[in-house]
Amino acid sequence: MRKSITAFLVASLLVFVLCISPAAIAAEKVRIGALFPFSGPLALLGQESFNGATIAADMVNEKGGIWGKEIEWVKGDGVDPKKAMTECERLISVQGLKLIFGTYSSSRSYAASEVAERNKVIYWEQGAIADPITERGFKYLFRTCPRASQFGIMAVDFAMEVVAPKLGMDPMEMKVAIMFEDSLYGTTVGSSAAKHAMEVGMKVVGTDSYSLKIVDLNPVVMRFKAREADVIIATSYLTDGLLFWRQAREGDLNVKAFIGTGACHGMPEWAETFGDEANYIFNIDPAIGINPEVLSPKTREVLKEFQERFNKKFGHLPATHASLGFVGARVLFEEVLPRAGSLDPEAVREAALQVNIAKGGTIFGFGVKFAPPAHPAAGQNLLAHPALMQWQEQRMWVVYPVEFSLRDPLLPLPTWEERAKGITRFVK
Amino acid sequence: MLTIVLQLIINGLLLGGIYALISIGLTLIFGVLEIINFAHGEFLMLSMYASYWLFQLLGVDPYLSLLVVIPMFFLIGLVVQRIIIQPIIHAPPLNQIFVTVGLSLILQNAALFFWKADYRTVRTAYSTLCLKTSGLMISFPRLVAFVLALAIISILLIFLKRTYTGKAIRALAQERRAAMLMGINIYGTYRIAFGIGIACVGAAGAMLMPIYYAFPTVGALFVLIAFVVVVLGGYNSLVGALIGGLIIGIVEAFSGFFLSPHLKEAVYFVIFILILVFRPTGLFGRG
Amino acid sequence: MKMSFISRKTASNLFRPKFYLPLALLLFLLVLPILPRNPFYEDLIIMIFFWGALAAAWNLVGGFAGQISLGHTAFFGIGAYTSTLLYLKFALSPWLGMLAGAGLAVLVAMGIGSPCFRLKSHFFALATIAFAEVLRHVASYWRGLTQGGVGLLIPFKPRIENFMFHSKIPYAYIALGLMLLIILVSYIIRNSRFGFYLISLREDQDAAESLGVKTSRCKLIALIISVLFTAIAGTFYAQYLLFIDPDTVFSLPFSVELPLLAIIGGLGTVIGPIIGAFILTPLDVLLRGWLGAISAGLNFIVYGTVLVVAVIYFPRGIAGWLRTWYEPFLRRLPGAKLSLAIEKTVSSPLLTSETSDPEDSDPEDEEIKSPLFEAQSLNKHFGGLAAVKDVSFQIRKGEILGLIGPNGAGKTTVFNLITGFLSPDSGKIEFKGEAMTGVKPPHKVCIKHIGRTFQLVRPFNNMTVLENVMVGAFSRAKRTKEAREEATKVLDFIGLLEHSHSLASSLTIADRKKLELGRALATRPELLLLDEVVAGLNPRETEAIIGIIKAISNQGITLFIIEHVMKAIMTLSHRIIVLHHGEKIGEGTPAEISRDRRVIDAYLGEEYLA
Repeated sequence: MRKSITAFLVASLLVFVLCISPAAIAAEKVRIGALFPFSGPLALLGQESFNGATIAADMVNEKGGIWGKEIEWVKGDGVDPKKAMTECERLISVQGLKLIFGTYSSSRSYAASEVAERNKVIYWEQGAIADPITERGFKYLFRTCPRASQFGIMAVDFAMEVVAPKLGMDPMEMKVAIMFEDSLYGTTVGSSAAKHAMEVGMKVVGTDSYSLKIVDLNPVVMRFKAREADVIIATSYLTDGLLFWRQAREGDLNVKAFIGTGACHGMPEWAETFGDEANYIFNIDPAIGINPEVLSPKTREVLKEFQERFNKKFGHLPATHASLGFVGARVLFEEVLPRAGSLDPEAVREAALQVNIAKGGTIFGFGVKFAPPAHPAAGQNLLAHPALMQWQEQRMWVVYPVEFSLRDPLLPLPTWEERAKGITRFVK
Repeated sequence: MLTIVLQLIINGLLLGGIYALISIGLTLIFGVLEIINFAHGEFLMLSMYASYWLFQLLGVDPYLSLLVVIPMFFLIGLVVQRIIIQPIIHAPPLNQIFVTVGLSLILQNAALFFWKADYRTVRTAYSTLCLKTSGLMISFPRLVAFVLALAIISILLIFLKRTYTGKAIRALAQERRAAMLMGINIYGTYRIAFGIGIACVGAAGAMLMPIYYAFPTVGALFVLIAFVVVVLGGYNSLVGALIGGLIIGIVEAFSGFFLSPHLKEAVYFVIFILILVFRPTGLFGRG
Repeated sequence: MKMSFISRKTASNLFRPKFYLPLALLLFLLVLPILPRNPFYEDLIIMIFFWGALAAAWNLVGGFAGQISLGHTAFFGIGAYTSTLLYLKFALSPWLGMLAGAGLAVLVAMGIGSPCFRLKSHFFALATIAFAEVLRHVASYWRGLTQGGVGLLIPFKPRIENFMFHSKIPYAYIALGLMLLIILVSYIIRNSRFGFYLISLREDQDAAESLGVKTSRCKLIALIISVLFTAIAGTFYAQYLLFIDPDTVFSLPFSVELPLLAIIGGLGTVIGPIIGAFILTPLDVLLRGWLGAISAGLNFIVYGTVLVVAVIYFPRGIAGWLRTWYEPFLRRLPGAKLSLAIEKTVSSPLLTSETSDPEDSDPEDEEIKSPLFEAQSLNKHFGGLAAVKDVSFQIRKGEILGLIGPNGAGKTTVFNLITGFLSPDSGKIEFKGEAMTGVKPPHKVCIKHIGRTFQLVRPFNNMTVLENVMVGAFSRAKRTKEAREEATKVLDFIGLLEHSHSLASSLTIADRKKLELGRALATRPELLLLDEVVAGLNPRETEAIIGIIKAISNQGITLFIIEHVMKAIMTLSHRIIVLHHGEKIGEGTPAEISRDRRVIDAYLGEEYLA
């Protein structure tokens, strides 16, 4: 008896669930897929990226939308690369979408965009940086953000051109330690850093990779300490990055410069978690805390509006990922779709290839021009590049390249003892 | 070099203390009810959140929150055992595994649903406190966790040896049928054993808050390690869980430093397999 | 005349629902891939076949053999990576790479299977998890080989030899083919000697061993077949998704999904895993799409709840639940009345492997040059306890030798020493002139024609009475038909024929004792060891069993019986030996023993004399 009732209840539940399927689609909306990790270990970052994009949509909708129609997001949860692929498939086949916006995580983006390309559906990547994503000659894939190799190279260049001279050291004598999480994101940045460092002749004293789900990074702390690293270049997601910094303090690991390359090193959580101890580390990302002079006057307005709206809607100022989502969405909504006239992928493609935003035209300070199909990095925004920022007073400020900068980099990084006593001995 | 080795040993012991604390509860459950509790990590996660919310809303220090968390999780353990575990006590092992897998799925996603995916952290005055002696660093919160783990285990051991309930639990762990024949209320005893097991992992969670972060999937990180510790130590030995935890901690610290951070988990899984093949009762378990 | 009879039978069979229903189902499956016009639903169907195939492959070792592997992802990953790497590095067609992957997986399984099978179920599960995790870390770390965490992407070049296609339909048929192949293999195994052996060892490994089942070898073979198909599925996956990384193909959640499908559908049944795949795969996808979009995690809460409820209330899975109304449903369908009745076999005397003297013969009269069985100075210690101390005795052919003594005297230990469950610390055992000291494992002893029953009966609960006995019969017969005939004869002999198709778990204790007896008989033992067969039976049942035992002895089978019920043992035995504290304290005819002072003091008690 009990069994039958239970079976009936379960069956009813199933039927109910099946019935609440979105049936007829309102023809009056511009429906765009939002494929991000909304659950799982990257959920926070995925959600933030999406939040930024929603602001761009809000701004457009309030002005009447695109082609007079409101933008509507249809979410897909890319909890891991495989599910990202199936979700992409669902958004395309069941929801009938022609444009997928996403996806923050390189591994998920890499896998899901393949599905979109097979179906000749536009894949608009706003924040996943691994180079291979746009090295496949895809026709329907476009990426607005910079590439991982740029991050890695910039980290090494900064160490060589700024850190070493400022500290009076010979760059070739500087000991560089590289650590990265081992998915597509971490590996591309880390390997490009390692490669570039060796090309320019710097000493790489260690390259340690680890799994994202790691519980204890003490071994890395101790290894870098034992090898007396001067500079650490780190590519971590969130928990791992926070964990490392905490364990670096516990283990009294002192370096002259710590260069993060995205994710947690550019998130509000960094300052929230560490307070003043968050200060003075560097982070490479699309520029936050940029010198407004670099931006066009219109873009300065847009930045201000974005920050206000975001703060109002979500209760905190937007950081890197929200901004990436915003920029990706904004280019799409303001430049591409109006030009395309419809969501037809061919039209959108054509329109995207015609986009030509000059330097200073996005809130990151870089322009937008997508590589044409024949280019080895087809679909990539060739004008995108990261900047190098430093946490000062628990905020990020661009310190490199100089023309983007608002402040000077402060070096060297105080030791933990110095921090505890509030001492700094920055070189002028 | 010596400093490094000593530091590794300290790191390993402190880390191991945490592992031991998490594993004690699992040993009790595994040893007495013979159920692989795949949801064990999720109870850890829940207790971390409990401690977190007590701190956020009522300003209760995580270590103080133990006074609330331990009884609370004991009760939770009793309830869960009655509703979910009891129906499957005599079920085939595979069914048991799946009920706990389902439970873990529900708990993880309920946490995700209610509290979102954000990482929650507790910052107290001593979170970052570090004791330094002759070039060696000892993290204060980890030291406290280590000491408390020892304390909890000692209390448990005394409880098991001296009290009637404790002896009932031990009897049940050793020989189910005989215990029944002796008039021990086996279902009540199972419930208590499970409750104690969950209370232990609840305590571990509160201890972890100053050290780590709470988020819905944090349990998954620790649960496999806990199983390795339990098997290494001997699945029905609490002392074994303690020693096992310390050993795994040290092994991890050394292999992470000398081999690679990437491979250290593989190392203790290999040890795990070797123990299972050559000495399944673990270091301290009875056959 | 005969030919027309056969064809009429075949034709009438076609109209029986038992045949046309599955046939209709098969046709439906064949048509399914081309029904949807939508890539999403095509993908869903492929995933259903894919998971169905994987779950069915897992079921071979996890369901049939009862070895809960939670590490099957290891072999899935080996298959996926092998074919992919061979394709990317050496341009080897993934079809061939698939075979290479399967071969490698089998080798690995052979290496890891044997040591791990010794472990109890929970520990075995944990060991498999650990093994898969080690592989995942290795794949992650060994960037030079596998590109580590970055994963491998296969460029999309659709050609048959590249195992890549434009349309999804070929993939669907390949997946369907794999699934049907595994089902076919499962079905063949289920009805074969191997299948019976697997299920018996799952139900009770020790009992199976005593019936001649080579449990270790069977487990390994089941694992190998299972792993072969799993690795093939791994290659399919790589070729379908065109992207693999360690976290996806060496994933613990993946390993857990396989048994889940089997358990929901019905563990150990042939069709169960497929049902599980057909229900859970769409459920997961649909839940994710609708509830997951509303709020993260909601879909998994529902999914998890369904899981818990299903496992608690439907432990036999959907197939088990279906079975209760499937048979009545079948009977109501057109064509059901053509079913044939159970064939009754004619009672025939049980044949032993040697020519037997059907007359009651007193073995003491026979001139025996050497005894059938001899034990010399057997010793066995457990820690400080001497369970068996310097015990020697002989058993003559055709006799019934009794073994009595107080509890803890070492009687069952002696049995265990003889039947290969324990090895003596010292001493000799000879049977038919052949040295049998310490022969292990028990199945070897059974092959040599020594059989036994257990003190606490150990029926194979989830098998029918007939199937139970067939397991014993399979030790001498290779074909299922032969085994069935043999088993039927045995059941007739011991009087359980009417219960042939009842589950063993439904029998009364007396019938279970008979079943245990019959099962051992089916192995054609020359020496049969009975451990307290009479215990727990009422007088009428006791008489019945004693009658059977006497009949067995009349067939020429030598019996060695442990008993506490004095009436039984005194009536049955030609001779008796007495154990006390592990030592033999008496030997002789029942009359002699009942007057022996030492035996009375130790065991019989004064009242017995009266």
